[in-house]
Amino acid sequence: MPVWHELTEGLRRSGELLVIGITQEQHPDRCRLWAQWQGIEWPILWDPFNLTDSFAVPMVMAVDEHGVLQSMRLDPRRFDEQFGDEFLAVEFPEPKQQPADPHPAVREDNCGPARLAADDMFLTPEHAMARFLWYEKVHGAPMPEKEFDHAIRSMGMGLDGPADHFRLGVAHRLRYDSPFHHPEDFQTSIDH
Amino acid sequence: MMLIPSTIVLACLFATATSTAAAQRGGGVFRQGQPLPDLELPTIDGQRTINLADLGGKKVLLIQFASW
Repeated sequence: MPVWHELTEGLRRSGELLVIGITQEQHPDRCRLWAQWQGIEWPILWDPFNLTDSFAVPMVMAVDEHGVLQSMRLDPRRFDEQFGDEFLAVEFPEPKQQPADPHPAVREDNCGPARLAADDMFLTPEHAMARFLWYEKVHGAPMPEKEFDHAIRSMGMGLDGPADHFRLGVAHRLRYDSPFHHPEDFQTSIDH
Repeated sequence: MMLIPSTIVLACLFATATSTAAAQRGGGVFRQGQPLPDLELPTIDGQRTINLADLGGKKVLLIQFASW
């Protein structure tokens, strides 16, 4: 991945190209330190619950000026040809379809006051993830202990496959890093 | 000449087809030829959020990776 950082640094600084990273990790600190070490200044998005449904990394993608994904699995050894001639130099047509929302329940508006009241007893995993991602932004205050516990209990119900287990592990890690951590949270986050 | 068991051949073909299909399918919510999804995520420094569907206006290099 650092090779792409080096290859595109000039393009990024000139404003011709925007570089965005997406990392799926339980905790953002490791990636933040790594980015600092590599001298990476471009934004890196944190996707702890794997909402992008990543199945293999790295995945290097070229997105045109209209937001359409034009190329995947770019090869840095063919940078001039594949990225330069076949992508940067091309003017792409506008798309005909609108972007889809792959996770409509994992949004800011699904952890607002009305949603919190409605979910008093029944909390879907998607709404639980919304709380972890958006609670502090929506409410202007860190998520309280009862919301942490409620969200984790909900995500621990009906686990179906590795993805659910990974997400539950993330939830435990997030609570471990909070003022309300349970002693077993760290180990539980690893076990899942 | 050693004959390769048919099960191994089939397994290799399946793996190739799967990886090819997977590459064409792309990284989960990402589909080649399609707009980026309407998906908002926070940055690792927690300072802001970015919606992938709002990345228009200039060309983008999007990299999914792990720091480990």
